[in-house]
Amino acid sequence: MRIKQRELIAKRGEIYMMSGINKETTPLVMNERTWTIFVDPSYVDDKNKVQAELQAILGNQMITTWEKVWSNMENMYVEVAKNVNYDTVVKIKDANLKGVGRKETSRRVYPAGSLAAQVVGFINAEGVGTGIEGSLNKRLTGENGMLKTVTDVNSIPLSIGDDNVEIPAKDGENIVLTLDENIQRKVERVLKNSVDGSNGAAKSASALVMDPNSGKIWAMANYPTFDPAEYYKVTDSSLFTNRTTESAYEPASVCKPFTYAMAINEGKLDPDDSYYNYGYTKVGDRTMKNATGTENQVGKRTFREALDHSLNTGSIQALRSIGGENIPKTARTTMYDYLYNRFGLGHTTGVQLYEAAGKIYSPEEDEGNAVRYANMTFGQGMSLTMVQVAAGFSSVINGGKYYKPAIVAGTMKNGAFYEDDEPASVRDTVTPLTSSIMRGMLQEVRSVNGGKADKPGYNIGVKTGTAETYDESGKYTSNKTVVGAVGFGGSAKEGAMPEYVILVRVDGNTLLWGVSNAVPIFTEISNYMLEYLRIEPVN
Amino acid sequence: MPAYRTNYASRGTYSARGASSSSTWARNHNAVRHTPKVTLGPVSHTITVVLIVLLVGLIFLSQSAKVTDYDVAIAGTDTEIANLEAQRDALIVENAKITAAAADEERNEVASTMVNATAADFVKE
Repeated sequence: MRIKQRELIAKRGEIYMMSGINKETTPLVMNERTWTIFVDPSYVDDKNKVQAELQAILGNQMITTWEKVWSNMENMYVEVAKNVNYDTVVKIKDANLKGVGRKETSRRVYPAGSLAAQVVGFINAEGVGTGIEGSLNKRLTGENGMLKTVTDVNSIPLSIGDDNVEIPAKDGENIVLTLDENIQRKVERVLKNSVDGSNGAAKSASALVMDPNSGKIWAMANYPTFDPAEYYKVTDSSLFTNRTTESAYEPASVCKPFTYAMAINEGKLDPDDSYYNYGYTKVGDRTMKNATGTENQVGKRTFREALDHSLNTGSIQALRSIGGENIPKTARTTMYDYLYNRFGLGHTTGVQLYEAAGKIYSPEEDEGNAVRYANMTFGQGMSLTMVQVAAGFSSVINGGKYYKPAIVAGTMKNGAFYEDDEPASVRDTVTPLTSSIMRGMLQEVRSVNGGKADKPGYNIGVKTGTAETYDESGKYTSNKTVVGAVGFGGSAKEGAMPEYVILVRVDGNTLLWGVSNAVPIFTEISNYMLEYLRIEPVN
Repeated sequence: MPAYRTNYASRGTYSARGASSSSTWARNHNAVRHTPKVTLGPVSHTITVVLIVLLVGLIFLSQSAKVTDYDVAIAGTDTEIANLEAQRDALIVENAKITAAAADEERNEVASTMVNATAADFVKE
């Protein structure tokens, strides 16, 4: 009689994603039982038999040589194969080889391959994780249990006895993500084609697709990507970064809708008001210019036109409208309140992933001066993450409701999906009227800039951005840009609200333009979404 | 008081057999009590008691620690369940891989040859 005690290992929670519009789920990360096969040379009677039969079964799964296995016959444990699957282990068991043992292990498997790799992430041998595997590690891990049982000499447990103790393991939670399998696949394919087809001009691309009326993220993709099953083979660790949440950048003119929404919401600007565009404007000791290619826009322009042609002078003028020519602290304080507090920019959003905070300088800081705030009107001089921009933009066009971005839809228990409560709006950012005006302005931007590429009969609005990057000396350079496009789509029916928001970011190895490098990505995804969500066109 | 107590009391005239024989010498009965002269001393007595206790203990342990047919059957069934669970889990994973591959246009030969619909009909309200 002997007492055996062992730890009952909690099963790590699996990760699922949504599939289709009927709230079905599909596995993204699963656990697979695997076995480690070992040989105890000191217990082996027939070396030749063991070697021949095991070699025939394991083949190239052997992780060592037979010379090493037999090099020390007093060894009691030599691993010969790892991660052996069920079929193979059954063959080994049936061979009944004396001195050959097996130990059950588990590994993560990814049925969908590299799909949503940066969102899923991985846990390495040191327990350091990325993606959901890291950010929700505690929920996924569960709690180990314990089994203490009295056995006979053959290790057969006795059914009667006071010493038998079983504390069941608490398995980790099975998490269901808001990502939609089909949208995610589509977005990843579009990004891949765009980067691979750029002849090296584009270094990487990322995109977010979000439900503006709930904050649920339907797609979150980055390219280039990696295979999470073989993350240890990746030599460029930047591939692990989920640029949509972990990488702060200057989104440039993609941010102009925030500026106009603020000025309109404050009642200080009407889109049909006009100003004189000289092609540049002076703020403090700096001269700020419009982007190249807008020279023909010099003259009296409405703010609608300023947004249509992405004139920097127009967005600076919008800020001036709420405080005066010199952009005083009161105007900067108002702008900071809108950007930071209302639109949720420059700080983490609370999405259930690792996030960079980004930075928006407060007017209270020395760096929060008029020049910086003038720059911020067209999305430079501040660093934001894509998820911040997408969530803030959603509130601009959805009637003024800010929803915290969400990547977790619920949990799976015993094969059933338990959906989390529908998220409620966290705060109001702008009035419904302001939101409506902004939708109209952004639709006009779209119609002026490539609207014919959209499927007819829908309301589509877009704003592009082309951000200069820093060169080695720390100065802005136009030789290498980060471009983007943010927009929405939905039914053209009277009173209909947008049904999706798309944000695209493309990092260039050279000079890229938002219109030519980011908008095509937006368009392809947008047209797909119109079909996928079965939105009815209006003729 | 219950009835049987009454009945019991009515048996007051009963006299035991021994009671009557003790007063009369019956034939063929030994008249002399024989007492053996060999007796166990305190040490032997203690040893004997200890041996008996040990014997009983061993019997108890051998029986209590012995697996029954049920224990063997339970252990066998547990092993079978574990094997079936492993088999089931392997099939679930395999099914998920195949389903995912089928859903991926790039990995699905049938889907990859499909073309986009040029027009879609929508139900008019």
